[in-house]
Order: sequence, then C-alpha cells, then structure tokens
Amino acid sequence: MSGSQYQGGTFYNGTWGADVDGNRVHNSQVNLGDTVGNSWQITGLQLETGSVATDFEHKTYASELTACQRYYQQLVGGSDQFTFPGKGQGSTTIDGTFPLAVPLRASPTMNAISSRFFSDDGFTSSSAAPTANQFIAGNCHLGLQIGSYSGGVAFANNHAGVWCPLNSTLKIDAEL
Amino acid sequence: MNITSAKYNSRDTYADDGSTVVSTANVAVTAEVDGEVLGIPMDPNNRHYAEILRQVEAGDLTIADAD
Repeated sequence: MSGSQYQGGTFYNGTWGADVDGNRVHNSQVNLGDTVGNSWQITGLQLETGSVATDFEHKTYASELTACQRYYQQLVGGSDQFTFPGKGQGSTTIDGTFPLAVPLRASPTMNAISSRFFSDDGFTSSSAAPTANQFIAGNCHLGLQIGSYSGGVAFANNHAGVWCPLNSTLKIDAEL
Repeated sequence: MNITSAKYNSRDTYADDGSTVVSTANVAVTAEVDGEVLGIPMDPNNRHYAEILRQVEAGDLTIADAD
C-alpha cells in the first residue's frame, strides 16, 4: 500500500512515477494469474517436514547440482566432438559406455537421439533411443545399448569404435 | 503419463566365437511417452517402467514383441 495513509496510491510497474506521497511506495500487487505461462521465482526459503524449523541451510551451487544429478543428467551433443567407447553387438546394435557425473538413483530412461558409430570402416547412423543395459548402483559409468544402425559400416560383434550423440541432447532420467 | 506404444528391445548373447547366438532376452522397452520416444530399462525402480507395468496389469497397454 502507499499514499500518505498507506491506504491507496498508484502502482507504477517498471516505470518512474511522480514524486508525490501517493507514489512513493508501490503496492506490490501483481496478478500472477493474469497471463498463461507466468512464473513466480522465490529464493531463500527452506521447506521441511515435521513441526520443528531448523536453521536455514546455505548450500553451494556445486552441492545442489550434484544432488540433482543423482536423478537427472544430460549431455548436449557437440556435433561429432563428444565420442565414447563402443563396440558392435550383433549386426545393427552397439554396446556403448557413458561416463556419469555422479551415480544415478536407478537405471535411467533415455530419449531418442541422432547418434553415430565410428569405426575404421567409416560411420553409421541411428535415430533410436539408447537403453541402459548395464546399470550398477554406485557406479559412475553406464552401459548402453543403441540399436538400428542399419547401414554404412559392415560392423559386427567386437567391432570396436566410438559413438557420439551428434547434435542431440541425451537426457538421462532417473527421477522418482 | 500418456503411453501410446511400447515394444520390447532384445539382446543376443554370443558364444565365445563371437558369432553364435546362444540366447536372446528382452532387456528394455522402447515406448512413446507423452509424445516422446524413450528407451526404458526393465527396472521396477524406473518410474516409466513402473508405469508400464501398472498399465499392462490394468489391461490398458500391451508391450509388443521385439523385432
């Protein structure tokens, strides 16, 4: 509220108003629901279970990020720059590995991506979703199976190479 | 969670010669979930697989055989 009796006044949203009592303190009333997609950002709050409030915990960005990565990680592809070891498994699939920032909560879901497998014979492409076929709790490496590499390279079992997610964003989702 | 399709992914196990298939087993499910194609491990602790199992149990979803 604003004005000489703090009972009225004019709210200037993002602009300067005249230097009069009525405008010196804006009323800070914003209708959060007036537009679809509005957001409300808050900070400095701590929600706790139970009836006893504890001291506010000041956590670093790094510790918060690490805690979140137990549930979700992603790799933004960088063309063919980010490559990871892999080998042929059958005639159209590969076994690949992926290094995790921290161990995941559970075996993760992954989204469909454009990927390539490179070997001495060249490369072949896939648009399939990788699947986690070797998840070991507490392990910072994930074993993947990526399928549907259908052409370009006559690879087979034990045909070594590297795979990459091209420009895709590989989402690794172990959320609850 | 809107799951519109689901299909098993299989994996062959090979003999020491590296070419003879000794067994084939389903190891994952590829499903379209909320409009996105996902690779889902067969781990009940995975939320997507848990939901697939729930919908299969309810008769609302069938997982197609692997190729």
